[in-house]
Amino acid sequence: MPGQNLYEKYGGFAQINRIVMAFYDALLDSDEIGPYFDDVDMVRLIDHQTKFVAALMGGPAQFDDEHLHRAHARLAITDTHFDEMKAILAETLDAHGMASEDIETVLGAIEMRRRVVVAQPAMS
Amino acid sequence: MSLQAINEQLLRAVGVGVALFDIEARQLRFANDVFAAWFEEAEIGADLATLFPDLDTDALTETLATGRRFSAEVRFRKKRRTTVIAQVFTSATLGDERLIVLECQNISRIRELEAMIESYSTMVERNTREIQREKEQVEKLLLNIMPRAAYEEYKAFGAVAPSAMRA
Repeated sequence: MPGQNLYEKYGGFAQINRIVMAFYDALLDSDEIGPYFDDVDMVRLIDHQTKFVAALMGGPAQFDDEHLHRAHARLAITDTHFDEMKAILAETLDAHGMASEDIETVLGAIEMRRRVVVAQPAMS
Repeated sequence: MSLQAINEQLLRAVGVGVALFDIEARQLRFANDVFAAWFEEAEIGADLATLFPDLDTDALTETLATGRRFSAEVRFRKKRRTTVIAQVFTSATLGDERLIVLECQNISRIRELEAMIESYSTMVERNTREIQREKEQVEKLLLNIMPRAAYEEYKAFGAVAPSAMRA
C-alpha cells in the first residue's frame, strides 16, 4: 500500500514484537557482542531493543543521534561489533519474512548511525 | 515397582521444577532434574533459607499453617540472561511425614514480553500526547483565520460551504 512505512507494512507491533524478541535472543547469544550486555538489566535492554527496532522501521519511536551517542559512548564499540550487530539484525529480519529490499532499507538506516555508535579514536 | 517409585519417576518427568523439603528441618529431600538444572547448588540436605535468601520464611510458615499456598518469585542471571522463576509452596503429607512441595515455573519470557509491552505503551502514550498538543495548536491557528461556525463546519464535514460574511 502506498505511503505505508515498514512498521505498518509488516503488521505493526503485533508482528514486530516477534522480531524484537528474536533480535534480543540473538544478541544475548552472540559471543562477539553478547558480553556488552553482561551487566545490563533485562527490562532496560528490552526497552532499548523495542524502541530501536520500532524507530528503524518507522514505528512510534524516535531515536535521535544525541540519544544514541549517549547510550553507546562508554561501551567502546568497534566497527567489527557494529557489523556483527547489523548481520544479526539482517538474519533476524530475513527469518521473519522481510523482503530483501526492505532489509537493505533498514540496514541503510543503521549504517547512517555508524559514526554515532562506534567509538571514534581520540585525536592525537 | 512401588507406588513411591512411580511417584518419584512422575516428579522427575514433569516439565516444571519440583522440590520437596522437610517441613520442620526445612531441608531438601528431593529435587527433580528441571529444579536441579535451575538451582545447581540445591543438593539433598540443603537448607531452604540458604537456597533462597530473599524468601520470606515467616510469611511462608504462616501461610502454610493455614493450609494455603504461598507464592514467590526468584531471579538469577546465567550467561547474561535474566531467568525469572515463579515459585509455589504447598504443604503435603506423605505417610507420617509432612513436607513442603515447591513447584517452579520459568516465567522469564512472560516478564520479557511484559517489559516490551510497557516500553511500547510508553512510546504510544508519548506520541498520543504530542498529537493532541499539535491538534490543539492547529485548532488555535484555524480559529485565528476563520469564524468558529466555519471551523465547526469544517471539522464536522471536512469542507465549508461558501457564504457571505460581514466584516
